[in-house]
Amino acid sequence: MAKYKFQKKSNEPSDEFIRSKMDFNKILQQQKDLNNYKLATKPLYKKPLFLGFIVLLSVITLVLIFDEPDPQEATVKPSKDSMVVDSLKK
Amino acid sequence: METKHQTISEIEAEWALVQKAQKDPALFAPLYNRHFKPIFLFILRRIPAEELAADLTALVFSKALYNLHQYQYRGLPFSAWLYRIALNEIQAHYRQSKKERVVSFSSEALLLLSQDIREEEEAHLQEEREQQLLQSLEDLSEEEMVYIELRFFEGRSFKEIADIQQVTENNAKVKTYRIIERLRKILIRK
Repeated sequence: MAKYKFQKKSNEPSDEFIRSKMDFNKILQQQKDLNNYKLATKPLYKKPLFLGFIVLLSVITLVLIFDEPDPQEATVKPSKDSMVVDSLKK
Repeated sequence: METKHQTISEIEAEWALVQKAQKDPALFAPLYNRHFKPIFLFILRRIPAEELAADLTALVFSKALYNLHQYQYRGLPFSAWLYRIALNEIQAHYRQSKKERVVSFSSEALLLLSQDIREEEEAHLQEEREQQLLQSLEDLSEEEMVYIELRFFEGRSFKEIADIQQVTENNAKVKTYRIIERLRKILIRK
């Protein structure tokens, strides 16, 4: 894709049009909004990074819960080979 | 062009207005009224959509007013700071929209640039040369393009370019000539 789009200069809009776009009160309001902490900052629970972290944490917790090994399977019986090794050590 | 070179006394008078506005945002109005049109047109040349350009102009002034307490006088016109904010907003807009960056030019301005790159040529070659030149401009980086736009397509002085780009006047001249030299080499290759 081309980086730039070259185009011949078009006519400038009229002074009347430009004046109609001027609104200093809007600028003052926007500045006040930027200064308003509650309006300027998104709450933590609405931030995608935080939500992503919560989802990831939930998935990990679920995996750990459902993937917990059976307690009977978990007890490892000593195999014969290991007993031989133990006796050799003695 | 909508801007003119400001004298030191004019720059200092404007600094006095900025100081007043730093204390009371409502006193920013004279600066807003003075610079709205040039900033709006500056944005419109780069983003040719009137409503969007007006919204971005409002954003530039909101950000300027919000950060006004940080503004420090360094002998530069206040407009240079506004142009800098506007350039950042334009770049942010194109980064977000992922559209091709619009570069507006007049045939006369392109001819001027072409003359700076090449010596006199026959008139019938002009149209072909114009196309070649536009193709060569594609190879420029965003920063290089800003220099070409400011100098050739908007006819600004090196002093003004230096103020906007926050470099010395000499540095602005050197950078512009290096870009021209680069364009010349690209054109020779083509």
